[in-house]
Amino acid sequence: MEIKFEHLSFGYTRKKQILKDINLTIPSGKFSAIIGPNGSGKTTLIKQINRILTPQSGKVLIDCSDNTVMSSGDLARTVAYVPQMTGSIMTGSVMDTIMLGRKPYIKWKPSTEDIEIVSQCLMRFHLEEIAQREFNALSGGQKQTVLIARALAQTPHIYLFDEPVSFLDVRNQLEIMSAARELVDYDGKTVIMVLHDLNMALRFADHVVIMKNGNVFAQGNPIEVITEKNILAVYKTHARIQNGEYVITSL
Amino acid sequence: MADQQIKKLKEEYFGVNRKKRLLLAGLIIAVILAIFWSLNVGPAKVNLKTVGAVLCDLFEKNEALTNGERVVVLRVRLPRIAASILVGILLANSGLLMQGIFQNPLVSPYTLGVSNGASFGASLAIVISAGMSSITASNQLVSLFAFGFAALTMYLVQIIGKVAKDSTKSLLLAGVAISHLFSSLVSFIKYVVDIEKLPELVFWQMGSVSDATWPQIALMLGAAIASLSIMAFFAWDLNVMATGEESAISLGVNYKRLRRIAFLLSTLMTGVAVAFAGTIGFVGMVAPHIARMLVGNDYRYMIPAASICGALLLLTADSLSRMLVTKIALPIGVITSIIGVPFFIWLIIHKRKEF
Repeated sequence: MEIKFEHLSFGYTRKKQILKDINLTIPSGKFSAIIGPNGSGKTTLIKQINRILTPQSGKVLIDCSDNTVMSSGDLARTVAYVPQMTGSIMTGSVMDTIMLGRKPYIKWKPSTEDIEIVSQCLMRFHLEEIAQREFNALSGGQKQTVLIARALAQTPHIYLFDEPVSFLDVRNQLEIMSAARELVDYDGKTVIMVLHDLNMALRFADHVVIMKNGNVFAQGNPIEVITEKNILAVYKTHARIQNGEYVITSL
Repeated sequence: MADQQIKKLKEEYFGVNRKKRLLLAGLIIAVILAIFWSLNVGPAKVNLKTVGAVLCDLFEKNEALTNGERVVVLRVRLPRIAASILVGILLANSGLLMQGIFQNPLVSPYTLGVSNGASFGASLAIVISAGMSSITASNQLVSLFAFGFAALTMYLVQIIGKVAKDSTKSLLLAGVAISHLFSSLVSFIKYVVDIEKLPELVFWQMGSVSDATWPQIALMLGAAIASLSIMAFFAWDLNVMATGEESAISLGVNYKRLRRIAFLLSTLMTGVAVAFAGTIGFVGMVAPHIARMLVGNDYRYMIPAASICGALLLLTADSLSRMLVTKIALPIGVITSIIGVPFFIWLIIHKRKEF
């Protein structure tokens, strides 16, 4: 499913705009990484897609449909959001937490199909052994994985990830990134991920959007977009791209 | 292999839910036992047989019963038990909603200053009713003012929260401010009130179900049935709401509307409970938390579990208040605090990661 931002502007107050007249198309069935310095509007941008935030002007089109005319249930069945997991939430076991992903489909009692989908999500991420463990007792990496499984249980077409690997160790980072990549490669879904790590973007993404001061600075193929020139312009840092890896050379 | 694994996970899920239902059944039995125990506690001894006889007497006159027995059962013991159960249910569910809204197990129905608002209303009514000859009219005025100011407090907090961009934190801070305002006003009334009225005012603040009447019980029952039915209807939405605003929106919940409904129900339940029983503390915080520990965070189970825990706590506290001190009526609020404070401290020490 293709996502189109048309003349989208957003600010918490009228005076200070965080997103300024954004015109952008996120390709369907690809892994798109949104990168840029702190405060450039990356997270604010993806939160417009599932109406966590609503624009002051302009619109978001999901497969040509304006997202403001979709019902909250329809939107939740189309777009799933994986927040950055740092603390605790008031939830139950791992299985209960993933079951919340079925909320757009459940009226009162989860159906056999709901329980089967949740079981499949558990198995896909090898969580079956900890299915009845308390979510809050898990490590950061496990919590993040459970939240991806919860998003998977929504059976959406589009996955939004908000800096999912910022607080994780290297192994967990790679596991989470590979899981997101699989959603594109095996399931044909659209993944949009806010990232800080440019190397992760180079390695995993098909499409990169660089944000700067609430505007789209550049977009396209990772190798073509994450260039020494763009890094200097956006991050004010000298860097070298070497064997598909980005290396800072000096500030 | 995969099918077997799915079957195993399904069985585990059904097993856990079966255990929760069994626990609820156990809690219901505990409440029934507590009712029987509570019937017997107090200066006048009333056994189950007498209660049965008095209830049958309502339909077919039983000459063997004394008027004293009729009065004790119908006007003292049963209303008190019914009021304890209902106030417990109302406060527990109000707390359950507030903890969900703020995603914090230390929050209670009084966190936003409702108790101080209601106390101010009641104090004002006690002062105004000083010249009234009818005790019933004076009590009604106190209830009305307590409910009115409880609702006003919530309304003011909502307005301030809305101006401050509707964030949960700003609501909490607005609650603290309004709470302090009413607390100061109550202190001022205590300072200037007629000395004869002061014990009445203090007693009201500590909470009691000793003066409950059947019309009050009917009102509380109505509020409980209406609120709990709406909560049950939104059970899944409430489950999701407790995981935070962004998660809730992304899972298809109209968060702002749900939060408004939750506040409204919480205000109604707390307002009605406080109007008839004063500001009984800790039940609204402790009961939902015990429920959460017993049946997890699923509102489909938490609503009945918190209701039963709240009822059980107040029933026990009220019976103890009748048992422990015979010369003066020990307010139920004192007992709930004696039980609630150690539990609160335990929560702070052992569950600090959750808030």
